[in-house]
Amino acid sequence: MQYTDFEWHVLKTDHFDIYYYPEMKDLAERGASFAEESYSVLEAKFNHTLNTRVPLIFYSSHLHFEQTNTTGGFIPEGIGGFFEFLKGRVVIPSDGSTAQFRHVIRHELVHVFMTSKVNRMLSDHRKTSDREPPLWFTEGLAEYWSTAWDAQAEMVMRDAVLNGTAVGLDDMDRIYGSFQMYKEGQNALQFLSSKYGEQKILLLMENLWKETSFSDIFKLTIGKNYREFDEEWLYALKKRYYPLMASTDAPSRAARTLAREGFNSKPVAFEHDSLREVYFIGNRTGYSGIYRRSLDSENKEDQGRVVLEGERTDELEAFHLMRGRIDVSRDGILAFVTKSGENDALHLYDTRQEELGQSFQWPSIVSMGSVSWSPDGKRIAFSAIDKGGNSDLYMYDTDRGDLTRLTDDYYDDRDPAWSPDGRVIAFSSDRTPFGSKGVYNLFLYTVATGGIDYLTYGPESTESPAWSKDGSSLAFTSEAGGVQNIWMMPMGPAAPGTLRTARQITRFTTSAFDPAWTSAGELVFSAFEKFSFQLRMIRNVRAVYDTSSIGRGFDLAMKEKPWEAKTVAGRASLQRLRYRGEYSLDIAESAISTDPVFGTAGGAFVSLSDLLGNEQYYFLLYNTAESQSEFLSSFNIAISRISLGQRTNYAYGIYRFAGRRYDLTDRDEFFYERVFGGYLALSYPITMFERIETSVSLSNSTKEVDTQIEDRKALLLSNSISFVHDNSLWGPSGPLDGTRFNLTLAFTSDIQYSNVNYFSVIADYRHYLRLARRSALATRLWLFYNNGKESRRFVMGGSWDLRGYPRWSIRGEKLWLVSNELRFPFLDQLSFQFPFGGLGFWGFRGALFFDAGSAWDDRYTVTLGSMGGGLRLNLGGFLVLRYDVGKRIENNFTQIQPDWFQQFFFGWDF
Amino acid sequence: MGFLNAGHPMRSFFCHGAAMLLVSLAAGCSGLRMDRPVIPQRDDWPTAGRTNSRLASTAGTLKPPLRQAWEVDLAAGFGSGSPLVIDTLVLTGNLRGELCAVNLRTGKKIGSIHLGDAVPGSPVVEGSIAYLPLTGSGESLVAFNLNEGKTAWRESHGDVEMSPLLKDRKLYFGTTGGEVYCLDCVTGAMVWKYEIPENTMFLGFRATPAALDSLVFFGDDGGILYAFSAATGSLRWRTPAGGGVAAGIAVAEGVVVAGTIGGTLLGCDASSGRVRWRYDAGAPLYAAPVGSGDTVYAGSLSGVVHAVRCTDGRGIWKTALEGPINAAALVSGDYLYVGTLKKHIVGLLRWDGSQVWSQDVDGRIKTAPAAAYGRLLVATDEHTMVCYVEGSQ
Repeated sequence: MQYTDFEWHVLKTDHFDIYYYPEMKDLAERGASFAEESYSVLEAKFNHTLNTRVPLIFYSSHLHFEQTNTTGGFIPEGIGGFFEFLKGRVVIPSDGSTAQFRHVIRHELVHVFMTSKVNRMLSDHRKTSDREPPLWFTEGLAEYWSTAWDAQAEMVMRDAVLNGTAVGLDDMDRIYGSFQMYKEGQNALQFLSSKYGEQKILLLMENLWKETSFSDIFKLTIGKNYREFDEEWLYALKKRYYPLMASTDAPSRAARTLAREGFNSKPVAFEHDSLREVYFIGNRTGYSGIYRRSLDSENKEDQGRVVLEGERTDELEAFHLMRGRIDVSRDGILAFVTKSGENDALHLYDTRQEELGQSFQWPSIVSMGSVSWSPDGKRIAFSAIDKGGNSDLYMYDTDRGDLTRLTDDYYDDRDPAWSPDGRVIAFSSDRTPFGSKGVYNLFLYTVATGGIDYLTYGPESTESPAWSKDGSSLAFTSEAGGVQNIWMMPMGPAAPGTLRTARQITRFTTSAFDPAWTSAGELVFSAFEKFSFQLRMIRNVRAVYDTSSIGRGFDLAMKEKPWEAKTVAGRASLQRLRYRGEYSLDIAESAISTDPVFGTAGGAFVSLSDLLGNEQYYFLLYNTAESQSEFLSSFNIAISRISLGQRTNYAYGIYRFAGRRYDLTDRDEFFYERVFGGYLALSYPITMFERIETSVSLSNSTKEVDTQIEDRKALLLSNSISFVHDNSLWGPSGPLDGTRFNLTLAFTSDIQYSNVNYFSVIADYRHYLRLARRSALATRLWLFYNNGKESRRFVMGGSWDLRGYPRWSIRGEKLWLVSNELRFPFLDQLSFQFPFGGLGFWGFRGALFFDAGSAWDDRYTVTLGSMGGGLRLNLGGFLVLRYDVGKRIENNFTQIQPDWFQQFFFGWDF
Repeated sequence: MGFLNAGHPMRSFFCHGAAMLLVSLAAGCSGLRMDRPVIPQRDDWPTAGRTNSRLASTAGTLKPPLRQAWEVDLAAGFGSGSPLVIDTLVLTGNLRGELCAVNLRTGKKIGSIHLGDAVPGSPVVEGSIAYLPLTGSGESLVAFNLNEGKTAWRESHGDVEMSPLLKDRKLYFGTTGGEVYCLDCVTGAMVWKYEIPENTMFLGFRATPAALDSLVFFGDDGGILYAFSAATGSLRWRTPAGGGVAAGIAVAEGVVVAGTIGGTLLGCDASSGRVRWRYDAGAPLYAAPVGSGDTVYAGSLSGVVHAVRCTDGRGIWKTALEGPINAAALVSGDYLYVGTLKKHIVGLLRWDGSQVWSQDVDGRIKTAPAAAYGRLLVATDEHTMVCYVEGSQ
């Protein structure tokens, strides 16, 4: 959905064409510098150069990135950028962190170099270009050659090894595409490099032409196949991580569980009327939202209840699970951030009245992070990213309605935490000299003067500061020790430049995030374990601090100047141009088909688009002649243009079709038709979940029906308008929650001969009632109505609608259908182990269904129905196999089929 | 002795290589067979680096500027080893496993024959037999009789990704599995074999070997230089180079010179293996060193050409080119010709490194050039071979 009108420019460097918009010029120049720096590094690592300039499309925030047309479909928040093979485009957003921006640029350029090198090598050996390394290798290499082994990677591997979920290369399909796969791939290549030499990584690519199996390539490159390598690698991981059990604990062993299902983060404690509660962001139901749980409930099954749910309305379009902390004022007003249309919005929710209050958006702010109330409950400090991609601190006065920018630079300032005395705001920032490597330290912003003072200083990240209620202590997370744990620092007055000290509070094997205090001196936080983020609590924090033997000091006298970002500005070779769409080929394919009835038909399809994917052209040309004499009259041509560059998408085109047709929806089964004309279609998204579509077409149609003496001629004018709503949440085989509906009104008439004149009403409503996390009752109502001269028939029957009846066997100009289906998990895993290898299937789903419906022309005939059960299996995320068995209910619901029907087909659940 | 000793392998070549080569295109299908005799000449380029010291120095001088005489498409990419020039014939292997023959003067493709999965290095020719390294299927070497258009023998000892060395009717090569072989060039029978002991890291030999007097020199992926007795295979010395040796080895002034992936150029005493000097090139060295007189030249992946005195390792000059270098250079009189991955062939003045000529080519240069009879041959990864002669465009 294209909310923003971007004015695209191009920055041309030695090796890159960088696409950016003027607001983010500085960021683009920094990115250009990183790209050229990466080019030099990767040129040496790959022993390879690129033959073509690389298009880099930058966005200054993830919200802008989500609007890109370079790829179809929805871009989740976890996608940090991508390399698109077709046009060789690299598309990257900034999230405010310069180090992360640099990392993603390097990561994606590893893909570019690897693809180029592998393709060149295959071309050199005249091998087909269908060989490519497996995903664990491509993503593992992109990580290995773009970033150091950091605390996050360590957390994931420790968790996987100590919980027995680490898999070898031979079983990577079990974690295919997951973040664990990225990090395991990185670790495997790191291990391979340390044991066999980094040169072997290059040889793995250079040997790709020799074998079709990558395991065989492994064997001839390092002398070991996957299984043999796995034995070495996994053993080394165990040797490294098992000893940690002596000195550290899994979070579940050392802290009380508050919520463990799904993703749980950003807790904040609030106490009122003798109730002690924690609010947090979670997605247990599948929708992101805010949950609430009692801090005193000892019920282990109490996971908290949903307070606000995202992904259902345009106002709370989506919560940011990882980005921003929430906060409750002393008056019980919960402040939080969601995506809301083009930008993020700051919302206020009255926890006592359980009412959503005001929402705020500012034109200069694109996305927002953590929020923190001032002690008097009148001002809110928050971090936010502007259109230039800079992440800074802001303050909003809710009484006066004033927005003040507290910091304004390219350093990533985040996690503001207002001190209980209101004097300072603690925050984390990458502004120390270590920041260029992605290291954050803590700072204090003095509200009265705007001065910034160091609180921590060192090469290990310290983040997420949280003041104790009395202001005497500051809890925060630190990566000292390899993974992120919670530390505590006494916050008495300190002279400038003195040594501040902190002690470690948690000693988790994995990591802890986002500590928040209760007034009783407890800490609630999120912890990573078994590849999930769980909400936990520890009590008696002061006592833990007093007995903690691990501490460290931060010598603030040692501090040096902040880092400075390099840019390419000023280089002689630079060129800055306005973007002009140049079209290049997306798809060009030809096809020929032979049919016993219609003979041989052949044709070609070509699509073109500009680099940003905003403007697209489609050309279709084929011939359906059945004899030589028909050749010239049987050309079928269609040209369409689709424009996606603005909020209103439009398409228009012209066409000319001719040929013998078999229209199973119509009473004229065989006919010959010549039709030419044009169309215009518009689509306007009202919100993320609703849109209006309209189209108009004018065409000249001549129809020759074998059973009629004269041709039917018509000049057809068709209009349609639709309202579409969809906020459904999908499971492995279909939707599990939400609502979808489509109401379409259409009118088609022959404005010259009056041979055709009919109107259509199509109403399609589907509701999904969530019964449990993975179960739902789905209901579908169809009412399709065509009426008038030469109105078309609708069809029904088969696995997708009225089950138990032959596919498309029920036809009529009017149609209704009611489907009810209970969807539930049936079998999570089915594995077979053969002497020559294994085979596994995951996620079998079960269904119990009841359908009823009918289709008729002029007079209603019979009501049909069916009931039964079925199994669904999702293969690879794009194909669902369906098997249904049941009984038909026939003769106006008076007779049940004596036998059982069985249907095997494919397709998603309705 | 010194540098002039480099002539020894050539003399050996002429002693045993007096037979005539006859090549032409077989009618109707791709192939190579005798048509008319080609007599090996003193100024030929008959092996990788022209001689077994691998210094890649031409007999005459090719003075820039050069102009393109012809270009031929050979349908596949090339390995790191240079083409060969024998009389009027250009012979090269390609990565599709073919031995291709081209007329040196016209650039017309005479013929080709498929001999294996891929030919990753230079062939070497003695008499009427061309010996080609093979990789991809476990086959190591094929001996092809150019007179008869037939394979004389094939031996499978593992993949070979270097140019073999021919000396005193013996063929020397290493495999990617970490073994060095000496075969009788007439029968293909194994004379001796060396295996890296305790090869748990699966180290292999990829650097093209060199020879001096009775010794042959190899370098492995793990960064060890080896000297073997050519006759018996006994290990005379082994010296850590400090990084994997992927580039070929050269011998100049009694010094074995090798570049490492770690960016070190190393000079060892040929007879004892004692390290005489180390030179930091600052970037990986995938291009084999070449030389003339007491100077060796090595191009690095950062695009810098280094001129180093081979007796003491002192840097004489260095010149930065526009693009990484991973193919060996070529010395011709006062000039040094270097190809880059940025698709340039560049002529430098050998004494100070100043650039005197540059020409764009259609692909990356990953293959060492060859030159003879006033012609410079450059192979590109666009599957073409380009021939340059003296004169302006």
